[in-house]
Amino acid sequence: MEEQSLNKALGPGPDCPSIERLGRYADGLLAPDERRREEAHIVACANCQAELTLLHAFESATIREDEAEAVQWGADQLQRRTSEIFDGRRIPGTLVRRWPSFRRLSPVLAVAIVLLAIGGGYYLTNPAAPALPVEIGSSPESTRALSIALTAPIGDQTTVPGRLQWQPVSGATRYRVRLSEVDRQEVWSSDTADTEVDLPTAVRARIVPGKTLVWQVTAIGASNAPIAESRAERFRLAP
Amino acid sequence: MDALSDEELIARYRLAPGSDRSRPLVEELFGRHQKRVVAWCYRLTGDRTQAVDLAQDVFVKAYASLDTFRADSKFTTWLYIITRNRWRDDLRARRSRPREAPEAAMFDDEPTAINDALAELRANDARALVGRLMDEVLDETEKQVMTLHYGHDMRLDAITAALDLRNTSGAKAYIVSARRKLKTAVTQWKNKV
Repeated sequence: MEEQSLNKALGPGPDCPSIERLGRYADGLLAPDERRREEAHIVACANCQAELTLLHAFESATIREDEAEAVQWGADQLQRRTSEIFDGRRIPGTLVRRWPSFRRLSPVLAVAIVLLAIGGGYYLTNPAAPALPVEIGSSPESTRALSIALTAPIGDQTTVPGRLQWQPVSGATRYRVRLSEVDRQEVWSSDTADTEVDLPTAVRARIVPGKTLVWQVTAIGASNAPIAESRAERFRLAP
Repeated sequence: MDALSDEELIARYRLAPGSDRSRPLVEELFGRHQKRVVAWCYRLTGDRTQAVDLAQDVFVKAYASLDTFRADSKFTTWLYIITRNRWRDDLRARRSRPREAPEAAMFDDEPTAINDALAELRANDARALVGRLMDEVLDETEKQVMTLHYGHDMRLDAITAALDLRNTSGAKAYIVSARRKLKTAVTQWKNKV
């Protein structure tokens, strides 16, 4: 009973944004006014903060030592199920199959075959040059994800760092920088068009000896979509 | 192919969705994120076999929905949402199961002061009260552990891994201390009203 009350009190509330919207917030893809509106809610909402923490943890893809063996085993098992995934086969009893059975599909196939025959006949009597494939990947936003190289600070520092620096990414119009504690709690974030950003005095004051902080940079392209992301790097002021 | 971003792989896949020609693109895409999803499913379920089954469901769903991916979020964000939603579906299906013995036993001797107080309040008031008291008496990690466990139905082991907690007993230590503090705060609040 106690748990039910806590479940209700700590679960999502009526004003919480959808997970899709939270995702766009986390990706830095909301318009400035929308972002401010969601930020005002998130600051006061433990449930949304926790959801964002989970999303960041998923994205960081950090696998602990005590999970490594089970994860490798699971990945190997999943690899053996590739054909089932492409056939749309789910685990029995959990969900309906994606595709109808062949028996149910057969009338659809029959219609498709007739249409193909008509279309094929038309093509044979009206030959035309095939359309050229659409060129994809030549835009300036064709940078591979996870490709931003963070320059400094990384590892133990002898003085409090005043600035975060990284390598430029082709096609990036701005960068979103996020500084967090090791439990993914955001300490500070900022958008900049440059490849470095100064840490505000209030943030620098929170960098105390022995305390590890994590930072990550996301490159945003002209279409306002993320095009590259760095690894999450850690640094601390040496104890 | 490994020079292409996730979003570019999907864009190329869309030129011939579901075809043999496009399948290597999806294999590359899913291969990049396979361990991420398996690890997450393992954390959420605490069971390696269930984790593989859940991960399979996630990729089946992702494959079925790939041509609807609108690129209005990162692919990893989209994949996280699928994983989260599939896990919640699975959780609802298993809802009748009792909480694991170690977690239930840990709280057996806890008084029900929190519940007694919350039960007298309307949902929104209870939410506001718990939020305020948590802000007042819990540290950030305790708040996160409480919210993930009660608000997101996450197992304590899963929270330990997700938050990368390195203390000996992980999230259990935080939730025990958080509940103790919260109980005291609720009692004081009740005495005032």
